[in-house]
Amino acid sequence: MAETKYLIIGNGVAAISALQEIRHADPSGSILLVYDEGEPFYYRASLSEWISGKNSDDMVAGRTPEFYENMKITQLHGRVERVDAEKHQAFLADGETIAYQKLLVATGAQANRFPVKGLGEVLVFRTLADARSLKERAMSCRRALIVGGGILGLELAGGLHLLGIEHVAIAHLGPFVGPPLLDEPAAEWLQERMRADRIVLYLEDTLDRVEGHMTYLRSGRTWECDTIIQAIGVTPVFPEVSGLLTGRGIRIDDHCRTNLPDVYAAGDCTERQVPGSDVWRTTRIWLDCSWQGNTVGRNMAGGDDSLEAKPFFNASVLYTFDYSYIGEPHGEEGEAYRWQGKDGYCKVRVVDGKFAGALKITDRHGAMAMREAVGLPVEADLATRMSHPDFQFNNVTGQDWDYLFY
Amino acid sequence: MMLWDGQAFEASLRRIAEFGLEDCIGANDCMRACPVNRLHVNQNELDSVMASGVWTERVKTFVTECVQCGDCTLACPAQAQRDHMMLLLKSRLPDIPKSWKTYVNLKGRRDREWLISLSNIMARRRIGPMGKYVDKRSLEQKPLLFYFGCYIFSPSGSPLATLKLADRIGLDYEVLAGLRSCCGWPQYLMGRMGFAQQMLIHLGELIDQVRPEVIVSGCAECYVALLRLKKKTAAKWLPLTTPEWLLRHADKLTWNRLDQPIAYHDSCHISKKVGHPQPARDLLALMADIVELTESPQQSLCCGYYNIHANPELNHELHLKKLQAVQEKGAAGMAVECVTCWESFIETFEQANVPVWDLMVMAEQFTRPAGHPTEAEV
Ligand code: SF4
Repeated sequence: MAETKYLIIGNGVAAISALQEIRHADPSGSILLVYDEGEPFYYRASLSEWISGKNSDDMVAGRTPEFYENMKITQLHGRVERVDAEKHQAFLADGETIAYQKLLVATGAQANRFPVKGLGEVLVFRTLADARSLKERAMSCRRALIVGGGILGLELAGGLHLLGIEHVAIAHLGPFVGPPLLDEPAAEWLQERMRADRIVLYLEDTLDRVEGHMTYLRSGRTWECDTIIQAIGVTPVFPEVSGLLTGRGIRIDDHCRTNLPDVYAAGDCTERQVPGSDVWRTTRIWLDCSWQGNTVGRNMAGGDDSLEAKPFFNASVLYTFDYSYIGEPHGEEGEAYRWQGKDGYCKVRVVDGKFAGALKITDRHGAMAMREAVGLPVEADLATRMSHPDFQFNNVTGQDWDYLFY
Repeated sequence: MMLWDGQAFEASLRRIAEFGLEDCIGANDCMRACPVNRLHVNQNELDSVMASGVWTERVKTFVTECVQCGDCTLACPAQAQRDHMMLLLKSRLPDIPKSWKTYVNLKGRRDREWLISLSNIMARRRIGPMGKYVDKRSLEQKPLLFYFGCYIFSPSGSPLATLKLADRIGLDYEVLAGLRSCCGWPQYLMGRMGFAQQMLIHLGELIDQVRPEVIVSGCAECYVALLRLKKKTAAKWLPLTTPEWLLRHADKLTWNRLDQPIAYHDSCHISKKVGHPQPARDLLALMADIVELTESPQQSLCCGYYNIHANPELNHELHLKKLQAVQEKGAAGMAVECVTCWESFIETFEQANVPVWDLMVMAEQFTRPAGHPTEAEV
């Protein structure tokens, strides 16, 4: 039976962030990293760059091989099937048992797939292995159908478009693409641009069945294609741990502790209670996962660190455009201030006279300043100016708004 | 009055840089955008060193050569600030590169008074009439302050030209210049945050003696330092770049024009980071037609000033690229608003016989007091 002080299951950003923090706090404690993917930590969020050939193989790797050596990490390829939290033991699929002192479950989530009549192979886009099959496919792909017009579906559509695949369609169940990131006006802005790129959008529709190269949508419309990719969300995955409190994901507190002693969890496999409600929410983004990883790492090494209630922030690629999402830009209450032009879109939301959040597409200058500004009082005139691309955040002095270090 | 504590620089740098590490999604756009990445370093090599604290030779060299232009940060889809991550790495370098020694030993090091005094004695001779402004013992209260810091010694001639223009317009002013009023940027560039912060605090104290309404600087780094100082101390004075200042008095001068078009080089700090690409163009437009070198100021190639010391050869390559762009666009020369950009480019451009105009030097030569007849008219 193998023994380790810290056992980390997973190879995502939560796992890597945790091990970094553990190593800083505990230079000599043994760390064992177990994961069932073929490779250690890689940049999941940049796989579309790898598919499009922009990034080489060694750029996908999140850390260099020396990193693991320098951090004195032992790695084991395998799948943990079951954990006995009382005995502090984890059982691998190949029969091996590992005794641990502290356990972190950071096993992430897997792409949802749904069976479709006539569809043999279901392609999804989540892991490096998925990306490999997609890349192979992309070589011969002429016409594609993406099922699901959420962020992932849009990223895929953008990737395929950039690869020069001329016939790309999206079937999306909702009335507009990109929720919950986009509200309807923002989605309309984007949809117009996608249609200009000749992306076909089937809204309030989904795939019903496939016959040869012909797909039949629920509405009765048809689309001929050679590649079908499902992008319909993810579901948390984790090993069986007796007595562990779970919902959709493993339930954790603000210290990333579970209900069991010495069992911690972080990242996409978890869910947290929305303060003041009985709603539990899974994490949504990369940054959340790395923050959870940092916090859990410190706590596993003896710290007492809780997740900060920071304003939500995400910046990445939406279809082919850069975007930033700050705080809570959408919602019933408050006022919205919108600016839109050929090259960009911005929405600023003010609730009770305070800056609640913003969504910026393409031109994102000031986004970091806005992140600092969530909760600050903002009058209507200022909100209007803030939404305009010419607004100079670095001129707003006196307040710590510009994120320039200076 | 200073509003920030002794560790503030270090702490805020750490905060921003660590956010970058948490936020990095591995797009590698930063390293593709970098103008000095001759080693083809990838983002994961940098992240690995930052996270583990164990250096590799490649990363050490790259960190030494980073010119802090900020192109990486502008390119990041996730809005990580790679330039600040580089700065944090610089601050953690295990040994100070030889090429940095001049900077480390002198610029902004008020704990080395004797060195500063010695250097002042030598440098005063070099700059003739401007020598009297170097580290003045007493400063008068004036509404207008020209802040030249250590660029008083600049061979560009920019400080002298600026004062000639002010005299021509008929302004009353005070001058703050010399190594003792350095803004701390050179230390900052090397990640020596403690020294940088000390210098900036000291600069604030000197400015307080003058109680100015407006402070004018012709160095991009000094200007940014002033912005920072204003923010941190909630100061009332208004920092202006030299073109911003001169434009306010443009009607008090008669302007001559060059009959050939001139290219304009954007300073990374003023045009890209602070986002003020226009004033310098407006000023240049009074004297010549402007040739744009790139589609937008954001795409402008850095002057690489910093590598004058760290890697002159690499710097020369950058300058050749710039020179080529200027020549291809058929411009008769290139104008800059920042003295350090001028210092960086001048050697390569002089060799090719292409002038680099400091905007103040240019304006001094192309103006006379308004209503003053020209020699020909007399
Ligand atoms: S600041 Fe400029 S030189 Fe330094 S890493 Fe970024 S792009 Fe490269």
